[in-house]
Amino acid sequence: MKKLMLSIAVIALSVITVANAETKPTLKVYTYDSFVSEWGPGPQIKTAFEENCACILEFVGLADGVSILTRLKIEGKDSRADVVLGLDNNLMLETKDLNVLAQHNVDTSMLTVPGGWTDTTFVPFDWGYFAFIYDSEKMATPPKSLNELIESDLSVLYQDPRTSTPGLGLMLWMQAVYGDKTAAKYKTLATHTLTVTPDWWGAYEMFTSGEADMVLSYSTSPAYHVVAEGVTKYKAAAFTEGHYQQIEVAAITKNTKQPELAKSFLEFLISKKAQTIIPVTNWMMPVRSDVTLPEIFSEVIEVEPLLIDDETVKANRQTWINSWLEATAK
Amino acid sequence: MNEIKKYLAYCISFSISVLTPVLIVGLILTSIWVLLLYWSQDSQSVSQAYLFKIIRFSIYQAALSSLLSVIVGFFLARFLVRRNFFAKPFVIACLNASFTMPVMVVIIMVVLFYGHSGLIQSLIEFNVYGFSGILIAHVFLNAPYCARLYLNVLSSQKTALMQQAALLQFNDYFCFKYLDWPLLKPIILPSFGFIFLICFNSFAIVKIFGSNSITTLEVAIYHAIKHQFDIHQASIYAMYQFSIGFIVAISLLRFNAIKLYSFSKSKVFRADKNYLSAKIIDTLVVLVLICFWCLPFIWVFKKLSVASILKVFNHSTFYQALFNSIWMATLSSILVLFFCLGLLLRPLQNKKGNDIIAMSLFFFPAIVVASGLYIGLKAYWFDTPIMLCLVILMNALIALPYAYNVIRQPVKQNYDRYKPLMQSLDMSLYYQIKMVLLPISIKPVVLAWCFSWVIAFGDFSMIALMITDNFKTLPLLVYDRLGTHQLQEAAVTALVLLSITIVVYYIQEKWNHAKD
Repeated sequence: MKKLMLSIAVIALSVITVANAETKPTLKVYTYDSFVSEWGPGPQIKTAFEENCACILEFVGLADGVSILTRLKIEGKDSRADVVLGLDNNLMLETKDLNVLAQHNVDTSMLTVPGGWTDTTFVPFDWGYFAFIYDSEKMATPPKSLNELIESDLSVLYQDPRTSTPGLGLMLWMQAVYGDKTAAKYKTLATHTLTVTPDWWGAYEMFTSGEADMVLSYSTSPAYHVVAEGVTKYKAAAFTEGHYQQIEVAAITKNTKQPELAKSFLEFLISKKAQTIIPVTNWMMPVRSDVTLPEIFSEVIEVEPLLIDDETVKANRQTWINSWLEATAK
Repeated sequence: MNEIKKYLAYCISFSISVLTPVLIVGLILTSIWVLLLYWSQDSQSVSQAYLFKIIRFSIYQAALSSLLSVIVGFFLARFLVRRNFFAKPFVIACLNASFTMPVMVVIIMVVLFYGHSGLIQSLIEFNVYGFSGILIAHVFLNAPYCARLYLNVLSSQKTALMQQAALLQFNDYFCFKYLDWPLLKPIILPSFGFIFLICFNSFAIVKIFGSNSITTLEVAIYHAIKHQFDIHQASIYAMYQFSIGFIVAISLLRFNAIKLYSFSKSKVFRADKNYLSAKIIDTLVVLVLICFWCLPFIWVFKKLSVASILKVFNHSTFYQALFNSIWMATLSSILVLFFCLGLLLRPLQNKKGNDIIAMSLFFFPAIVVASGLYIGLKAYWFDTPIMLCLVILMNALIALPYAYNVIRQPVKQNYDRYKPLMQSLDMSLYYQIKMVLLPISIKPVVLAWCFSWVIAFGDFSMIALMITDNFKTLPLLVYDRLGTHQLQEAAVTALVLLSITIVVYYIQEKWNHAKD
């Protein structure tokens, strides 16, 4: 009898625990790995959002930005995500075509993104320019242009455009600068490329371990080393041809069972609180002008922006990837 | 009552013996059918020039890796057959175990030893990422298998012939030409073919050391599925992978290359051991053995730090991954034994048709079958638990040829031996297995279970292809840490992987002795 009573008590307790756990809705967010890493914005954003939402914010870290698009392609209209976070301006049209994203209904009029923001599906949460980073203690005179880098013998790390948004960014950067000659330039670059990693994180860690002379990252990356490590030797090289622009965006999926919660998350993402966290954890520029940035951000290199329009990117992305593969395969 | 029991036992054994081959053949045929379905669709997503380049590289890297493995394995075997030293049993035990060694452990050793912070880098400028890394890792993993195979053959040399050779004062070269070569000749090409298949189907090594410019069909399939979700592209790569692998596997049919565990005479009389040339060659082999296998292993320990060990062990992800790896490997290995049982039930009744089915993953590359099933299932049940079941099933199929090979012979021998007795006692098949065959064949069964467990425990390719959520196993954790260049943490995790593998083999060995 005692055993029976004990069993009933245990079952009742489990049911109560489960019931309690279920009272808090879970908001599932697909993002990229480095966003959810211990030093990325993920942990702080999660804590700050959960303070007021009475919910559980669950990040699912995928390899890199393009992987989020692939995941949406795989899952289609049955996507398990409520929000996708970490796609960029170059993938917006292609993602919209999947017809799995909902309108956000978030007021983005006060955002200060280069070129302004009117899109009703995606909400921007940070932006920046791609740049090659070097160690100024090892390299006194870095290349002054993209062409100088390609024609040099410096060992380079960059990311795969099939998986990573910086990798895709470099491909578009090369297209914007070289047009039809891009494949030939990639071929030259391949002669001194150490390796092509599937994600940004891997390439950047290899670079900071001293494995290569330059790595593809962002013009804001050196700020991280100054603020977090007190290291000033890492610099971004300014190129005369200009630098390709990236705006990172988030969106709500059509399949979400909690559209209001998802919307409140997007609103939180562009709030002053979240925008204060993002620049010093994701090391990108905020989309609000009223955020106070660390002093080092004023030293971020001034660059000439480059951008290819969305339609051209959507129409040619696969062809350009094939041409990159052909040019670099041995 | 007894009649009913007998009838029930017959029904169960009949069902298992029918269901197992039907399940295996069904899975493979479904997978190929799904791939053919998408393959026939028109699409412009595959660049012919790129396709040609990766086919060429897939074949080239596999051929060169196999050639080097065969050469290194040959010299290693000749050294081991010629010399006796205190650590020889240990070296032979390592050769036995190396084939099932988790590939992630090998990768970590190569990255740490030859990579940026490695010993080799301090001597010469060397880029481990690329073709050289792929070759080193493949030879590291496969040359011991060749050595083990050749050692068996060379140990079987007749002592009388060797004594005659000694009388005729045969030197190193003559011993090779007239005594060793005739023995090795029939197995050189098949062993080359077998290693070629392994390297051609090698995923983790090419995934880590290769890149977009250096890639194989196998990694291209993974990329197309995981990173682009271009099913058409994946099916084209998979069909090429299958066709080439199938042709090589069929040509190897006559040779039973899958001998993972074998015994050879410990002391063999050799006529050539005192010749200077033999001494020089053997000294060089010892140097290669130390530099190529021992130093990378020691180097991993040198690179460890207390901080990295604490970091790994303080992370809850590590324990989750460890737990996941253990339960998945356990289920997979149990499934392998069921498959073996299902396939052996009929041969016990003198029907040999299932031998080929047991070897099916030898002909159909695992990633091809997995891709077909993944694509086929995706449309209906894209869910982590379903995919986990698929990973367990695939790992069981991957281990099946090896486990089946270990079990089949002793079980059949014992069956033939005790058949008259069992028939005279009118024992049902269930009791034949329970009372007679299992007790006397328990050693190979446990060994087969061990192999299956270790293979599933070290699996990277299946879990990497099919699992997309935050689900981690130990090999995946090693890969993640390598990807983010946390080499020390990756090394600690890989050493845990290796230690558990060694412990499993050690327990099996101890148990084996206890049984004796």
